Amino acid sequence: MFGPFVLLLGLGIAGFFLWVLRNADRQRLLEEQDRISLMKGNK
Amino acid sequence: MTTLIKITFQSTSGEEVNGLAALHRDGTVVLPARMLQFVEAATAAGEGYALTGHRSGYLLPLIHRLGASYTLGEGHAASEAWSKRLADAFLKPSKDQLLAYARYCHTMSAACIVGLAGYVAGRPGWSTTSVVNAACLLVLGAVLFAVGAIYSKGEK
Repeated sequence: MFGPFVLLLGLGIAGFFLWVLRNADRQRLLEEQDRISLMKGNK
Repeated sequence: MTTLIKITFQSTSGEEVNGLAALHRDGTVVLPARMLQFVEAATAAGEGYALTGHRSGYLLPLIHRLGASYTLGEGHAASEAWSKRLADAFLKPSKDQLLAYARYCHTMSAACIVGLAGYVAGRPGWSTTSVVNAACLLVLGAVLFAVGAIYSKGEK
């Protein structure tokens, strides 16, 4: 029965990519916060 | 022999000017008079500025020698280690990398659906095992398609 094995492997790949997406979102949020604090400092 | 290379002047006030400068055989870059005026204006205004030369696809800093003469600072070209680039591809992926991951997920999803069609068509008869296998391929195709769609969202 290869189906469950393939499903688990694929879900692992999908989970990994969702983790990468979370990293990208976190990085974007940090950059946004940096920009906001820079703008506040330049008032 | 003298060649022309593209140079870029950037100042902290946001000004960015591109131009061409002569690169001599001895590695000396001679700035055109207009570009030198930008440098002098930035210096006079107390602004920071950066002069870079484009060479072989790299941005190299121009190091001042005398007057309008500069040299390409080839030793200063910053390059990241491949291991850091690899880690950044997953820890701090760029938008292009995110789109590449989206395409990868959609390709895998398509492979699941095609595999499902081939598997279903090739079965002589139905059993619990074949139904589970087919269902797993279908679910995985849907999940990977959804993940690819999330990745492809792009900017709001």
